[in-house]
Amino acid sequence: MEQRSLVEAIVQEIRRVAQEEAQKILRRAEEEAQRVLEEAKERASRLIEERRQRLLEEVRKKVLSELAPRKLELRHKMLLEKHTLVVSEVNSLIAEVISEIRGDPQKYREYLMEALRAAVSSIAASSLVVHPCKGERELVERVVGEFKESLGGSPELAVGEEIGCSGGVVVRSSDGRVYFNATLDAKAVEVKERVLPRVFEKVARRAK
Amino acid sequence: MGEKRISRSILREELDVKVILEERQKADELIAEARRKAEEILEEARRKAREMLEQAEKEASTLPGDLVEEERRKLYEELDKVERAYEEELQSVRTAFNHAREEIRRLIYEEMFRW
Repeated sequence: MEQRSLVEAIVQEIRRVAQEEAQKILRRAEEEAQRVLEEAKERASRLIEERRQRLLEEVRKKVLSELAPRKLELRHKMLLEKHTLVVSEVNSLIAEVISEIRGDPQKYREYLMEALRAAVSSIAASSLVVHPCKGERELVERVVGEFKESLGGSPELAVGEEIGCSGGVVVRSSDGRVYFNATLDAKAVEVKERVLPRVFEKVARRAK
Repeated sequence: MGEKRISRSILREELDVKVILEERQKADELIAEARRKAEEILEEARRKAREMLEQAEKEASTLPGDLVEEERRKLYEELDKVERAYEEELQSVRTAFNHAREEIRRLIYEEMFRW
């Protein structure tokens, strides 16, 4: 009987060990399979993400190359508009100021006196001719008369024929070799050239 | 009588050995079956993993249209922002000019009398 139960015990033990080993093998396989799938899932999503990023980068580059000329165009347009805006505002202000000077006899007289002073100091000639704009002969003659008094005789000043301009005078040496343009139109151009850089600087400083 | 007992005992031992050997055989078979199943499980997992990667390759070879559109939309929005920023800049120049208008007017007036 003892012999019988010993054999049964051995059989049971062999069975138990075998079952345990089999279960262990299957469990390890399941775990390994799980790990393989998780790794594959991770690699797949990384692969999709990397490729998509690469493709997106290509799309981005393509769109940016489409947009680059438009951005540049916008920048040019903006710079041009800024310039046009300032120039047009300065033109309006110059026109306003000129209209104010012309509309005020005292200021206009002062302008003509300053113009004559500048002409006399810039033209080295003994005799000068002052040409008024159309319709201003009488006024210019009066101003030239007043100016002559402050000159003391030299250079000689004469009023010439009227010319087509809208305010101011043109002064020339009597031999016609040197001209001094003091018309309001010429002065407007000169003032604009002088003030524009300062206005741009002023506006840029304030716009910051 | 004594010989008979001995031979029965030998027979019994042989039978026991046979039983144990059979059980060992069964155990080996059980373990071999488990290994086969384990190999199948792993093979199945590897197959699924390959499929997963193949599918990912397919998916990644083209961008979904909505992603492309989204990207284009974002970049065009940036262009709109640039345009708006320029408009604001222009507006600030207009405002700055208006603030400086009287000062600029005085400057022009002075320059009209300067030669």
